[in-house]
Amino acid sequence: MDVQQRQQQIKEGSLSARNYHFFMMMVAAFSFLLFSSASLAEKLMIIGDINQPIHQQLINGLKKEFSQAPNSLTVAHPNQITKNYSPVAKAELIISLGLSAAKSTNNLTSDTPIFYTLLPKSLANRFIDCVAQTCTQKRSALFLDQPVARQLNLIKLIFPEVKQISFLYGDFSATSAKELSKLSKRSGYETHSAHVKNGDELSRKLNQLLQESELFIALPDPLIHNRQSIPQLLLSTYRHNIPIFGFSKSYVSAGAIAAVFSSTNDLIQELISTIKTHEKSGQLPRGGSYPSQYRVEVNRDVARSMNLHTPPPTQLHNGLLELEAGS
Amino acid sequence: MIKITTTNEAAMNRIQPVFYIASTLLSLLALFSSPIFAGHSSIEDPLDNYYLDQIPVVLSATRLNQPQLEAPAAATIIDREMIKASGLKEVAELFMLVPGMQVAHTNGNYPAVTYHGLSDEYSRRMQVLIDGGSMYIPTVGGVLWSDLPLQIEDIERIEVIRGPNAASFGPNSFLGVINIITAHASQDSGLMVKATKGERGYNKLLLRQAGSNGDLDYRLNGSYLEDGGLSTLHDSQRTNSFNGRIDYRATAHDTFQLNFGVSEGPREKGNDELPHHSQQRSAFYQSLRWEHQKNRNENFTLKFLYNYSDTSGSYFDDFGSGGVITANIDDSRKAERFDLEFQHTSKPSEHTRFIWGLGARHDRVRMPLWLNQKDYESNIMQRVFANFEWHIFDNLILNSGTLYEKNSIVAPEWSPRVALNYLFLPTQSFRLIASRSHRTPDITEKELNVVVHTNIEDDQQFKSLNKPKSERADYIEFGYHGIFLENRLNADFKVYRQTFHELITKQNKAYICTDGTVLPTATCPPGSILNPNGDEFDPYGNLDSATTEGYELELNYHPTRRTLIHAGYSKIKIFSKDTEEDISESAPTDSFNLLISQKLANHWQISSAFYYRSEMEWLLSGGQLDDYKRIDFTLSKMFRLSEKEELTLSFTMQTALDKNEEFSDDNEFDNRGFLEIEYQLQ
Repeated sequence: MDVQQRQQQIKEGSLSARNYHFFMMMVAAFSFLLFSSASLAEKLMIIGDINQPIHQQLINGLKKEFSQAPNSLTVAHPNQITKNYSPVAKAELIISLGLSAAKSTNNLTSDTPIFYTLLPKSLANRFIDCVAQTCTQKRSALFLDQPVARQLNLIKLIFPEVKQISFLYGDFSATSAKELSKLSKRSGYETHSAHVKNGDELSRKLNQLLQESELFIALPDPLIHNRQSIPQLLLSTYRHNIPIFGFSKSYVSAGAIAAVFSSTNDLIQELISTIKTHEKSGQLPRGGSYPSQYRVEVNRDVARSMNLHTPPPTQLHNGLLELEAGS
Repeated sequence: MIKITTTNEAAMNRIQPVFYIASTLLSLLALFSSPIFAGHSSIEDPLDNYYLDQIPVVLSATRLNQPQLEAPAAATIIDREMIKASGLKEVAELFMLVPGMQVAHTNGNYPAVTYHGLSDEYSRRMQVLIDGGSMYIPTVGGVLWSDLPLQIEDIERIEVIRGPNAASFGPNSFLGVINIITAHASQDSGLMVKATKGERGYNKLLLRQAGSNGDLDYRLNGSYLEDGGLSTLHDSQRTNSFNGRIDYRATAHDTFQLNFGVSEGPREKGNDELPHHSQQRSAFYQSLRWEHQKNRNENFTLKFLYNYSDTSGSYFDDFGSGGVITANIDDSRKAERFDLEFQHTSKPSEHTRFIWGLGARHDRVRMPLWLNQKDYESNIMQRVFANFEWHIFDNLILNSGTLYEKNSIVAPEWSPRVALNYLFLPTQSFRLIASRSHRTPDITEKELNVVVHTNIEDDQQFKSLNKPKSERADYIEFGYHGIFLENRLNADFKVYRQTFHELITKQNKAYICTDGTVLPTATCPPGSILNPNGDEFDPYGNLDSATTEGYELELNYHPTRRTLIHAGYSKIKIFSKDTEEDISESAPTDSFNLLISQKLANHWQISSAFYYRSEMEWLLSGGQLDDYKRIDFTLSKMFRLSEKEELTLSFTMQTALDKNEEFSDDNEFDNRGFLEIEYQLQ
């Protein structure tokens, strides 16, 4: 082999090596695009209080997801939101976290669409349903609570033999209570309920209600279910051997028999999905929507103590998915 | 009318409980106002974190009933519904609803309760707890049922473990365990006034105020009781009491519970043998419990208990000699108990649960008549315990535990227990339990030395024989529990055998030899003869052994939410060598209870209970009792006066169906009617 041939071989070899490296870089770039965080073409503004752990988790979740476009996402405290708050005008979608943020959006005059979350349906509707004269923006929401039908389905799956259900409601939960009454009657349940106007009535109305009940449903309402009252509710229902259905994971840890709820991660995934859809089509769920991602928690210790048999949470979750798919 | 005398010493003693209450309340106040337990910072938006925030664990393992299918013991649960339906006015009488238990009034103001016999008026072989705190009185053993620091209305439920459980509940859990669980303070609110009028001078007034302030819930009771007792005895009583419970949620993970109670009043005593006299009784109880719920699967508790009782009462006795032989007898008794316990509960995995703990206790007693000395005697005890629960399979549960106790009376002892529950169906299980328990003699059993100093001589009456050792019991049980009709019917059956060794009992007359040897028989060692002065006395010592066998059945049936049927049956046979006391007769061969209750329309409720036991003889009671048959009937009606006011009237009739003798043949249970009126404002 002469020197020229050798040089040619080396040249061809380096060329093929270069081709190989180029190919690998293309694969890596494609993989990166396929598996890493997404970019965000539109400008997004989040109104929330980073001092609140739940707000912080949601904001961090979105930041992580859209880390490719760090400048597309700005965060503002509700107190900063005024009529002339300039970053709002530049945003293409506003995500409002919680009640204070939702109230602050009433100050906005721009027509940037607003998407509310961390609000139950009854509250979110107050902001979504504003008349066109007072709010010009397109408004929608991801509700924090679960649809009543989903809760009734869970009850059906765990206690198919139950005929009587009871619940307390206040002004805050009056809409949910109305819906629960209607749907439970349609499902063949005998319902017992009482309206609690102030905290002093809670104990009395609860005890009266528990005389005629097989199962108690906790409708989210800060007047009725709060850190002070939940121990009393759990102890009273346990005394009467009546299982209580909660609305959060920690309610189940505290002593409720079961709950269907969406975790923070579920809410983050729902938000990401909504933002991406809006980016592509400019559409938001009409009239708001309940979370489509949820999970089921069961307190087996409480169930066993009450001599109740409960299926595993995964089986219940699958059962709910099947029932919702069939309806 | 009883004359109440108050000495300076008694007054001083009453100051002591007040001091403890005040110091505890001040400590709590200081603790709650410290920055560690300062509440959450104010949240502007009440909904933030509402759905996702931490809620304190309320129904923790300590508050939940253990599922009976998996429990390593047979248990009877007496809940509020049963208490109300029974119409019973005394806590002690509720145990007539437990198969295998015996309840009797040694006199009108002193009930005795035992399980499977083996008891005199002081039931030393049962453990009695209020919210986990031992109510055992270290003077003569047992429980002063009429001085319990709670009202029957405070009880959330009573868990009676029918069988020994020293591994979990300590050394007096020899025959069984009674755990009285009071209602959380948040379970009552507003004002309640309840007045009860009964036959034979029974009058009771109870005032209750309960409420809450933020994370603090409280319930306070004040009551006055007077009772004429049994018609055949001098046994009236008057009791003033004040008790309460405070629950405080310091953080989402920390709760504090303070229970306290003070009671005082005179009790009449006297019968054919004992001169009529009055005793002044006062009792004080406080227990402070801190629970740290780290998460759903792990918690720590630290509990401090202080228990004090004082019975003062001197009387003059001429022993029926017409004034020839006389004595002033000081039968005063004081007892104090300090107890500190730490417990850690965890679930290392989904299938295992582990409980361990440490405890220390200091008992002090002063009983001049019983110990023949005016100084205090003490017992200091340390204990370590552990319990392990393992769900080997979903339907097979192993439960094992042990207690190691060291005290200043006898050598250290281990009390182990192992149980296996097999759920052959999701709603039916078999259980097999084996355990060994030890019971430490109490201070009186160790140091008993009753000498009556008469004007003529010192008369030795009772004396502990040498130094008693711990009693030992080996137990084996096979049980079945079944749940039927969608949880409306629960059935439990058990068959058991328990062998007792070294039982501490009294024997009639012992003999002192010239070399100082004390013997139960009149046979002295070689070289020694019986003391010619005739120093005879009744000795206490490890003189007996016995074996108990039998079976029990319990049914709880709720055909509807408004109907309750509870029934229990027990068959007991005791085999004993019977040195002097008739141990084999100390429990009835057959006993039965039935409680039926029906809630009717318009807030009417009607209920009836029937209790039966066959012949028996309490130890040291002096005679065999005939069959006991009793039927109780209760009718009540609630009126809703307004949205916030309720008035309940109830009438209870307790009827003896025979000449019902209770503790001894001169204690005859009389028919008794009670009328009760209760007003509640919420």
